[in-house]
Amino acid sequence: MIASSIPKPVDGDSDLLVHAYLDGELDAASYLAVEQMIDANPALSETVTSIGVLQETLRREFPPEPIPSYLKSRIDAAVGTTKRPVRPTWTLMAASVVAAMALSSSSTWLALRTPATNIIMTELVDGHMRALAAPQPIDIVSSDRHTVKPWFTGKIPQSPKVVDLTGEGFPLVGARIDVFGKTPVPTLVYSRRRHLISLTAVLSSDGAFSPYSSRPINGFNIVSWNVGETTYWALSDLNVTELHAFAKLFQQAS
Amino acid sequence: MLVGIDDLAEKERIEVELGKERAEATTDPESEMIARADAKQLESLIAALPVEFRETLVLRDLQGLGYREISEVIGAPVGTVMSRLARARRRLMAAIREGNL
Repeated sequence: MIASSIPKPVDGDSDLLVHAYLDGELDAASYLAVEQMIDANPALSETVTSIGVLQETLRREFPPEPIPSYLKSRIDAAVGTTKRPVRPTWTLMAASVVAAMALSSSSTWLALRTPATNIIMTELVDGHMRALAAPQPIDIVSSDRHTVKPWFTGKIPQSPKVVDLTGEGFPLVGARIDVFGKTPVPTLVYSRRRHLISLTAVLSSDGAFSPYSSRPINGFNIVSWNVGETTYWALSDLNVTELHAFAKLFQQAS
Repeated sequence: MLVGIDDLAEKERIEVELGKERAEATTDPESEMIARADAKQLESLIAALPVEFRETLVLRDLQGLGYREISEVIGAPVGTVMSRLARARRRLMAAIREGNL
């Protein structure tokens, strides 16, 4: 009866992290790690759904103002004040630290993805979003690869491969230079219908970046692959099937 | 109902991108039960929570305070806030379930 409908208890650490995840209290790296953990665990993702529905229901039934008087008096009794503190300027570092400690204490699933990859993906998403938010999402607008390729010369230490995929439905839109860590890197911008694809080439002389299959981050899909010392990262709000098709076409083109 | 695009299956995502109407997401019975709870029921269930769980839940889910802010208000470490909040929500969900049996 009741017991059978209660989701299986999950281990303490991950349970707290799931709540912090839903409350937006995690930093980017922890957020991604928790998301991965949830994806890998159907029972946990069911719990996440239930908690999400609970939060939604509470928001719906108790709009922010005014606080029900009976609750107000109870908070008064319990806390001594209902005065909402001025929102502080400091960030929620403490929660992040707790999260980081909990993350490192349960390292079995953390090993699924390296922190370095998390940082790279966060930077990729940042670069893509910054570009989309700017009045001009690309530094050079051109559908001609013979215009785009020479544009990089002298700006960055590498000459990226630029291919024409117009015939395949991925016209070249232009290019820009992103900064990755402290290194300027070339980013080509292609389009598919009304979606833009940012394709960033990173020289990975240390071979630190392993090819990474796709997964969504804030609605963006990322696909990566290695060619020699170069790691390519394709990022778009396009669906992953077509993004994979793009990646394949790019790899095949010479 | 708003659905994040990350939550969609690949097939659904393609349909959304192609502008097709998305069927209303089906939720499991437990979530439906929770979603049906009204203010009156929730009030009495929240009131029945032990005080330390109740205050954390109210500060977070009704007042919208952050973990650090709650920690300041109740004078307990953030880790305590996290565990109380998790337990408060678990108890509340269980209470909604039992109330609907």
